Amino acid sequence: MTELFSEIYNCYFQVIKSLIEQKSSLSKKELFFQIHNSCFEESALYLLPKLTENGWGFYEKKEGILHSKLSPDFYAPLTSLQKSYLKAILMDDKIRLFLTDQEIKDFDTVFSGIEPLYTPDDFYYYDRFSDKDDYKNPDYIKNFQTILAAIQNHEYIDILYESRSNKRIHHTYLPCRLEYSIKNDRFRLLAVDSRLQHSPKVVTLNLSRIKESHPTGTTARQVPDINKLMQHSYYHEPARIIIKNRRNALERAMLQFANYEKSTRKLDDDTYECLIYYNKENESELLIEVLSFGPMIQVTGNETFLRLIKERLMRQKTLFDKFL
Amino acid sequence: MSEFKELIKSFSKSREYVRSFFIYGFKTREDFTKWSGRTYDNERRRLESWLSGYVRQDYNKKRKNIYLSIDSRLLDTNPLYRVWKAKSFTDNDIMLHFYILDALQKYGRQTADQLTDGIMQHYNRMFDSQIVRRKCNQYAEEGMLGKEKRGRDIFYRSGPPFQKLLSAYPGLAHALKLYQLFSPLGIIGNTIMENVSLQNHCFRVRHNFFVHTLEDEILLPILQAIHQKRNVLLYIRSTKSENILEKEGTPLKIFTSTRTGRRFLCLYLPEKRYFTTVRLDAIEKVVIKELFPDYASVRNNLEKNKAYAWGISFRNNNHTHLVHVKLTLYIDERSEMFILNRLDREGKGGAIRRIAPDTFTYEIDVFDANEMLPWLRTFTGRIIAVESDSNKLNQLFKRDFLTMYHLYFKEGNGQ
Repeated sequence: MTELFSEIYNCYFQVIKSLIEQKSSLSKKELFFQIHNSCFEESALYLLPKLTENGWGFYEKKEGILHSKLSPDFYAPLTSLQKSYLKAILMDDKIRLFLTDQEIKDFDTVFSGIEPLYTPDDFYYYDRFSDKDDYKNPDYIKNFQTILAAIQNHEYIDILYESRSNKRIHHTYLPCRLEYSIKNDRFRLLAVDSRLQHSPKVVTLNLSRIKESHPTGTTARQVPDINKLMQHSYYHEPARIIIKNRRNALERAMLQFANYEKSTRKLDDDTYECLIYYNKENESELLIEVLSFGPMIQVTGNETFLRLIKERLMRQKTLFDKFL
Repeated sequence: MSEFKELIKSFSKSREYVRSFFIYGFKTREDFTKWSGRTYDNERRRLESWLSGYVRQDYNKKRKNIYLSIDSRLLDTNPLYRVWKAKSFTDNDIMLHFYILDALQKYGRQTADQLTDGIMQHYNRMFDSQIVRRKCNQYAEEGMLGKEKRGRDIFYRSGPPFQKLLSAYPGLAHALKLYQLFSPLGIIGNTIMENVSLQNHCFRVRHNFFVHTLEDEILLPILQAIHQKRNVLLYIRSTKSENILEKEGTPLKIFTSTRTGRRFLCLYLPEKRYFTTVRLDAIEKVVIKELFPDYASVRNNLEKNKAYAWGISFRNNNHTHLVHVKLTLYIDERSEMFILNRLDREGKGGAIRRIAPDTFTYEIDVFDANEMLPWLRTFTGRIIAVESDSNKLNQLFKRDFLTMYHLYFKEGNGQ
């Protein structure tokens, strides 16, 4: 098997390939911006002289303009590692959301002789929820594909949705992203409700609860900035937790909360304070995660989150007092 | 003093720094004692260069600490993939990459000598034909070039463009956008996307642990050994000291927690005849060893046993007997049915019974009941009793609960 940490995947190689593909001639300024946008912070310092002076010779300089000596049709063929990866993802059950059975078969023929990098059997997600989405359901696949196309085209779609209380709701939404949850093995749709155009909010819909979806043919004039909307939904005050580094709690907490936006500081030898940013939607999840640590971490703020923890503890105390 | 370079030869040192900055994020220059201050400065500068836009800085007691603050739900790709794109190379490496591929794509299959002459003629660069041949052979081994012998000559040809395949299978482009974000070794999917200038504006992933990518170089040979049914020799960094321990065994499966972010290699130890697990992020090096003849039966055995492992442990106090755990919960049937749903979907097939109005039991047999504690604590506020064969679980749960209760209600945090 070939190396993963290889110069073939180096971002310098990548940016040069993109430059060649895009334009056969360009100015030094354009070159700088392209490198600055696609490479590391300091890459331009090293790359510019190599590309503009007599360094690697990919460009010829005429009257201040750089002309590529390489074909604009240049491409890097796939490596064995990349082909093996493609074979591996073809074995995942979610691939049917993207390719038909016939296409998967065809693809297998194209890459015959290539071993998959891994198989689903090589991994075991031991605490994953059991009520995953049904990726084989033709209606689910159809809805998934309708939504995906609408996201690309910035098109509003009509959705018939069944809520948890089995109520059917019909609305028009502008779909923004499909969100996959590894823990739930489920997709959710992040969308903006068409009725809230002046104060848009992100709504989350479980894909498995979408009964029907139809394109409307109307596209959005302005695409909402989903990240801004999501960040806007975060509580102004983060959850503030104190971690006592006993029973390896610090390492466990830092890893478990690594997928939240957070900042941590050391208070003394074995005490740390961590600020975690969250919103109403993931409040219960964060609460559950914090409770799972028991006395190893203590919530000190914000007031709302602290109150939630205290309520749980009081309820538990009452139950213990009553039954024991 | 040597010149600072943003590219690196080997990944291991940077892997440790990135992990420290990403996971801990509170360490200052003084906390990194393993290497010199200058090494810290260089690694920090490199990190700031690689991950600009994600790096934040703070001052704690007048000491600067930098950290990576990343909300995984807001990102189209894993920013830590950039670390994999920092491998150093020589001038010859990059020139030959572009000249050889360009020449083969423009003029068709050629021998190394023909390529050497062509590079001189078309790009005005002179190379030794041995160097060109070596690069062609390297790329043939990487799978990028085809190689065929005709008489005495060896001809090289470029592999086909992936773009062509994508045009035939457009769904694959979308699949890549999703899989690069969450699949094992997603970095490779990300390099394919770059290869065809694809960008993801369709998918997001929740409950994603971006830091896992730092273990990908370790994961690769482990998967290779699993597929070849071979043993491995692992060099493992002790979590308590800096010591490196060696462990040899049969690699069977990667156990992943979707909640805690921990990943483990499940190994069979033939001499001791039991299963064990090793954290992937503690493995420093993997050496693939000899074939393990009994692989299929051991793997079957694991499949049977893993149903009784709550997490990653197959033993309890050095015994492999099962422990019965019973949880009694108060659940308001009018408003808290979602708790029953939680028990059902998170409870790994344990039996749920309604024993009285608003009162339910959940029962399961597991190897190591202590592993259930974090999950049991998530039902705080609804637990009537926790019972197990050993009684230790109940005591632990109660002790931890009372400590927690005192933290909030007996130290000036009163109601």
